[in-house]
Amino acid sequence: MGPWSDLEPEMPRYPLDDGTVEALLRGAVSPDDAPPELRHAAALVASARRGPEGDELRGADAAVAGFAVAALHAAGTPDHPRRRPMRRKLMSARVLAIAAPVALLGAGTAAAAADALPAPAQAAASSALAHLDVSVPNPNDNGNAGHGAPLNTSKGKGPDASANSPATFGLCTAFTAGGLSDHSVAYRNLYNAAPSHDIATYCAGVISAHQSSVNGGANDNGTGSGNQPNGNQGSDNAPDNGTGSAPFTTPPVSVPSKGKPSSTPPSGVPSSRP
Amino acid sequence: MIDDFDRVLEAAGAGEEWAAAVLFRAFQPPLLRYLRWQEPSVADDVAAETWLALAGQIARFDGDEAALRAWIFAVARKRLADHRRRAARRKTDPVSPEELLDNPGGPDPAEVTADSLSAQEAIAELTAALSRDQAEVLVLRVVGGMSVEEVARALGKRPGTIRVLQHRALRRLVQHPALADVLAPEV
Repeated sequence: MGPWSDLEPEMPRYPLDDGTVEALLRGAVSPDDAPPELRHAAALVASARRGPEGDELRGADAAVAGFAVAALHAAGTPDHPRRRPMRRKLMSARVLAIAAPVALLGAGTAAAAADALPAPAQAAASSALAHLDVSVPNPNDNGNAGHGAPLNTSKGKGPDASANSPATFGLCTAFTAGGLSDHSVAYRNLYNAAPSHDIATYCAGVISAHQSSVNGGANDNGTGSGNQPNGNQGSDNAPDNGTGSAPFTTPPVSVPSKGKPSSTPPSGVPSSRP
Repeated sequence: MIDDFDRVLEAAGAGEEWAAAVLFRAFQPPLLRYLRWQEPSVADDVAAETWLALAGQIARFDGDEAALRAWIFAVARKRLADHRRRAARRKTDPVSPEELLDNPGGPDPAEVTADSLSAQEAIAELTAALSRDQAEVLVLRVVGGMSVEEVARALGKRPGTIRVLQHRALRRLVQHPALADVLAPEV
């Protein structure tokens, strides 16, 4: 019989002051040291905060590779001015030259590759590579959020290379980087789509248009204004809405901008928190 | 905590795999736990989309580890809402009554000890007796490692509301009838 057993059932069995609550939630209360009333809660919190376990890091290598390629690509877009050494620029082109054709494989081949990887890694990698072709993802974009969705490919047909196709930028990127074999289906589609079969001119226009849209659509990526310092703006104006019973008043997801484009590395001084 | 976070952030923004791996190892497990708690069927996809969103923005990110963590969870939550909205429109994600009956939602807390639970099971038990609001606050705080203010921003609520919700959640957790049986013999 515990010391609180004679209390009303609705009465707190243990005085949960704010400090205790904070400590519990931060995992700062060791189950072994916790008062008996809080021991189980502290143990659950500790378990919930444990390091990686089970399949949580399954396929990390592929996911990390996809992330790195996508980050590199994004860093090279005009709204991410970043001075990079020539070696890295070359690496960038090489990576894209390798990655783009992979991303441009027909759906059948891609699916086969997908089966060869664990699901989370495959999802991350395929999503990253696929989205390489259409610019950075848009958290507000409901239509193309599914991984791999932009590559509207079907087996044997290759990606759509028409000017309106989201895959065209990827095709042109690969072409410009020299990573598109002229024997590939993707190349053929690009060739067919280009007026007068002038791929170079066609792709120059596509890339230019893409870069303009990236610049112009900087606020269309779910990250709020690039000028917002640290995403601290109120969320009352969040465009998102509820989804059933859950209160999904989604915040304006905001990536704090460095404010001024700079070719110098960040100062290393975190600015978002006191 | 990530050692030398600023250097990792800078390198990840430049596409350095080692830095991406550091971020992935630090944030993927809690991210998956949150998403699997919310919506297991799409958790992996939403996590992948979240990483992709991060990859596209990380070169511009300027903040500390906690801020990045909060950003990741906010994006994941937004993506999840998008998935749910699309699923609701399509209405092609039926769950049979038998399936629901076979999946009662976690282990019986009276039959397990916290140490024997996986992280995912611990989250399920943490939130089993809570309202949806309370549960999400608790998961974002415990698993997401977010502060009261960060959770408030993510959920569009006031910090004071979050404090009330988390306080009630923990009080309820401590009072959980099944837990009372577990706890009483300890004294």
